[in-house]
Amino acid sequence: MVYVLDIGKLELGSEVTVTGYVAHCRKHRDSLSVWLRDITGGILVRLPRGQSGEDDPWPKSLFSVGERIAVTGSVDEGRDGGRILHQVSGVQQLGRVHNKLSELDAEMREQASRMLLSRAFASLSTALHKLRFTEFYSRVLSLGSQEPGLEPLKAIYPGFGSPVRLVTSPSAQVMDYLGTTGEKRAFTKSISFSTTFRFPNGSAEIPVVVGKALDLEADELQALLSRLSTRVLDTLEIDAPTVSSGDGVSSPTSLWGWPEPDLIETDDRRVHLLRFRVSIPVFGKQWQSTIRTIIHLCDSAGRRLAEGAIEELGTQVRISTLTFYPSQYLEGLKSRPGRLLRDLESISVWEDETQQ
Amino acid sequence: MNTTSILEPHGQTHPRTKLERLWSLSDGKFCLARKRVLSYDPTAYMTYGPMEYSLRPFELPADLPTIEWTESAFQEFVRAEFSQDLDFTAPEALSPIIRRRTGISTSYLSRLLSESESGHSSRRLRPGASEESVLSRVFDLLCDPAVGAVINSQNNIKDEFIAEHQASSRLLFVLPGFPFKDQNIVRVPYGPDEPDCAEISLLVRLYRLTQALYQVHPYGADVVVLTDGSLYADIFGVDQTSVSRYMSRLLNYRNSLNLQGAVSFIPLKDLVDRSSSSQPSSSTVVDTVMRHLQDLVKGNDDVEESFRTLVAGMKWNVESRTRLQGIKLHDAWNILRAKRSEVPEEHHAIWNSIHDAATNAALKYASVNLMLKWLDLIKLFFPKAIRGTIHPKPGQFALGGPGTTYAWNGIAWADSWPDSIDDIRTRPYFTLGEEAQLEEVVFEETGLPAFYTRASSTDLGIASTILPREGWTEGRIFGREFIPADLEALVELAADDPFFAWHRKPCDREYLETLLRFRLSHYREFGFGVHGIWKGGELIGQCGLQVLDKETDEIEFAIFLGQNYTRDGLGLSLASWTLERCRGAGMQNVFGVVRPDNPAGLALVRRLGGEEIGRTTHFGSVAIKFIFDLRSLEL
Repeated sequence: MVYVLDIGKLELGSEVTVTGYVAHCRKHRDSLSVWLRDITGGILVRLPRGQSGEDDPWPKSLFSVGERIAVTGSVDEGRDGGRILHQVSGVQQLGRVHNKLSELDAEMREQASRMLLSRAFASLSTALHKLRFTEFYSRVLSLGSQEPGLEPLKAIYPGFGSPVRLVTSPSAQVMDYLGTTGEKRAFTKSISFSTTFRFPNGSAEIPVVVGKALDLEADELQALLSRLSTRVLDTLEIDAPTVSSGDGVSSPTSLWGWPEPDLIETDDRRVHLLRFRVSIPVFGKQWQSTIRTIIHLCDSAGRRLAEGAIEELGTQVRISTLTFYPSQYLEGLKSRPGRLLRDLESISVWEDETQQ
Repeated sequence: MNTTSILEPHGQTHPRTKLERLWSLSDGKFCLARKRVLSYDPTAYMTYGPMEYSLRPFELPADLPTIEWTESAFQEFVRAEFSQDLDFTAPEALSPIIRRRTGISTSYLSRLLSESESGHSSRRLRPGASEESVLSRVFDLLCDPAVGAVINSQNNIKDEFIAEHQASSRLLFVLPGFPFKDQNIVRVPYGPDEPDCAEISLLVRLYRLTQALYQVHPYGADVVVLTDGSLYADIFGVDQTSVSRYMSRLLNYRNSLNLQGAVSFIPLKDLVDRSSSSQPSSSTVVDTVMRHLQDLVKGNDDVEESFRTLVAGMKWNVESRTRLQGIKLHDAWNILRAKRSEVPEEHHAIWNSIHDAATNAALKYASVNLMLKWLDLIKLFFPKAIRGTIHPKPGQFALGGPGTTYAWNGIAWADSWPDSIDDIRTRPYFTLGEEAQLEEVVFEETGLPAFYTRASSTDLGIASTILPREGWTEGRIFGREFIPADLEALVELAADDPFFAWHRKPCDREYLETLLRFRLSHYREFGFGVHGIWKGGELIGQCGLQVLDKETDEIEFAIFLGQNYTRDGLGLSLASWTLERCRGAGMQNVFGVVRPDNPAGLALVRRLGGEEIGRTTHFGSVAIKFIFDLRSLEL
C-alpha cells in the first residue's frame, strides 16, 4: 500500500494499492472518474464502464461519496501531467466514512501527521549527515537544576523522590558533545518540552532537530537553514504555505528589546530569513559567550520553521546553532495540525481543509 | 510610563501565581497591561512568545455621583442582585439524617481533577482560521454549558465581543467571588473559613475554561478571581481572621491541584484601598452614596420599597449562626424570613437585633457596590478583561456552572459518589432535608467538609469496599485478588479435586484457566470479586464476594478450600469475618448459593444463619439459594 503523496515518486506503470475515501465520482460514457482522497492528498482513479448494454463491472454503491475503499491499479500520467491510477485490477470496499470529521478520520489524520513528521525528521537528518554533522542520541530526562529560560515540564516517579525535568532543548548536550569529542559539527533529533508559548499550533511537546557547528560563517549558516528547509518542503510537497490559525492571531515579528530585523530573501520563494542583531549573554557551564545574531527562517505566511544563532566565545571561536521545528513545516499542508495543550498522547489534530 | 514589567515565563511553581506576585509589586493606581512579545531564550537557543505583564498608572473619575445617579443605580442593583419573591415557607425538615460520615483523602481531589479534565477533552474543538473566527469561537465556547453558560449568548453581543477583544493576546477573565462560606445558619452547617467541594469544583471549572480556550485560542487565558471576602466581611458580620483562613485553604486546594498556572486570587479590597489616595477617594464616594441612599429611603417610596427588599435579602445573607445559636432551626428560619408580627414574642429581641444588623449591612453593601460601579474600578484596574460573573447579567459572562446557588452560599452535593466536578453542584443545606439518608464526606487529614451525597444504597456499590484489592489478612490467612501468574498455584491446588469446582468434577488446567479469566474479568467489571487465599505462602483456596444478580443488587459470598484445608473451621471463621465486614460497611443482604449435593456447604450456610429462599439454576446446575439478612444476623 502507498500514500497518494508517494505516487509522484513512482515509475509509470507501477502497480500500487491506495486506501482512501471517495471524495467525488463522475460518470463518462465509457469510464468512471473517481477522486480518491487519502490522508496525504488526492488522486484521480479512472475505471472502465460496462460495454453497451452490459452492467458496470462495479457495484453502484462502491463509489458513493464518503465510501472508504482500497484501489489497486497502475500509475499513469494524466492530461495535466499529474499522476493518475488506471488499469484498475481490484477495488475493495472497506466501509463508509459518514462524516469527514468523524473520529475515524481524525485518527487517520493523526497518524498521517506522525508519518509526515517522521519524514521531515528523516529529510533533515539525511541532509545534515551529508553536511558532515555527526548525529548522536540526546536524553530527554534531565537531573539538572532549574536554569533560567523556557519553563520546563517535570516528570514524577511516584515513590522516588524529587521530579526530574524534561529537557526544554538538547542544545547544551550538543555543545557537550562537541566540547568532549573535539568534532566540529553535531546534531540530534529530540523533543523540546515546555509549557511556554512558541507557536499557535504548538503543544507542550515540540519535536526539534538541533545542530551546532564550530566552523560556519554567518552566510553559510543562513544558506544552510534555507537549503535544508527547501529540502523538507520538497519532501512534504508543499508548494506554497496555506493560511492557518497562526495568521489570524499573528505573533509579533520583532524581538523584545532589540532593533527591527533585516529581511533577507532566498532563492526559494517559499521561505525568507529575518536577521536580528543582538547581544545576548550565554552563561554556559564551562564558559560564557555572547549571541550576536539570531536568524529566523519563516515561510511566506510568517511562520517560523527554523532558527539559527551565532554566538562568539572570545574573539576566535564562533558557534552556530541550528534549530528546526519539523512540526511547523506541516502547517504548510492544506490539512494541518491544530493546537492541543494538554493531550500529550496526540501530537496534533488536523483541521479539515473544507473549513478554511 | 511603564512602571513595572514582567516577562513570562516567571514560574508556575511558586505558591503565588505570576499575576499575584506582579500585583504585590505595586501599591497604587496601576492597571494590569498585557501584550504578547517575541523573546529569545539563550539557554534553549529558541525563540518564544511570552506575555509581557506590566502595571501602568491610570486616573479615576474626578467627580462624585449625583443623587439621581444613585437612585437609578440602586434600583438596578437591587433588581439584579436580590429577588423580590423570597419564599418564606420553611421546608418540613431543615436538616437531614446523616447515615454515615466518611473520610476521604485529599488525594481524591487529584482523581476528581483528572476525570474532570479527561471527560472534557473528549470534546475536541478546532482553532479558528482568522482573528474574527478565533474570537467567534471563544464566544461560542463561553456560551457552551460545558465551560460557560447558554445564557451568555443572550447577555452579550457577539460582534461587540469580537470588536472589543484581541485574538493576538492572551485573554484575561476577571471574576469577583469566593468571599467566605455563607454564615446563614440554615444554608451552611459549618464555619466561614471552611470551603468545600463546591468552591473546589468552581476552581476546577475556571481552570477547565482556560484549558478549553487553548483549543480554540492559541494564547489561552488567565483567570483572576477578585476575592471579595475582606471587603464585605465586616458588613456581613464575619471576622477577618476567618476570611484569611478561608482564602488560605482555598489557595492550598488550588496549589495542591496544581492550578496556579490558570487561576489567580487578588483581593477586591486592594482595588478599593489603592483608590483611596485619589480625589475623590473611594471612601468619599461610599460616603456620598450612603448619604444619598439615606435621603432617598426617607423620601422616595420606590427606593424605600427596594431598600426593604434589600434588607430582607441581607437578613438571609448576614451572619446568623452566632446570633441564632441555641434556637431551633424552624424558629431561626422564621426569624430570618418572617415579619416581626409573625414571630413569637419571645424572639422579638433577636428579630430586632438581626433586622438592625441587616438594615445597617444593606446600606453599607449597596454603597460599596455603587462605589465600585461609579468608579468602574474593575475595568480601570483590568482594562480589556472579559468580565466573568457567577450571577448571569447583561455584559458579563456567567462562569459558575449550572445551578442557581453560588459555591459559597451552600454545600457541595452529589447525587451519587462524584467522579468529576460535573457531578457536583451547590445547594442550600436546608434542602437536604428532602433526602432520605445521607452520607457526609469530609477530608480525613483535615476534617474539613468535602461534600454530601446519598448514602450508597446498593449492596453492589458497597461490596467493592469489603476486601481490599491489594491484600488483607485475617488470622494467618492472607487474601488478595488473583493475578494471571497464580494459574500454576491454582492448578497445583485444584487439579483432580472434584470438590474445588462448582461442577463437582476434577479441575483440569483448561477449566482453571477459564475460572481465572472469569475472576479477573469480574474484578475489572465490578471492582471486586472472589480472592485467592494463602496460608504460609501456599494457595489454599478462594474466598470473597461476587455479583449474583446485578439487576436485583444481589451479592453472593463464595468460598472454596483445597481438600487439605477443609474440616478445621477455616471456612466458618472466614465466612463469619467476611459477613461481619459486609454488615459493618452497611450492606443489607448477602446471598449464598449451594449445590444440594454439597452437605458441608449447606451445613456452613445454615450455621451462619442463612435462610433458604428457594431453588435456582447457577452456572448450569440446580442450587439452593440462601439469604443472609445482615441487619438481623447473629455472627
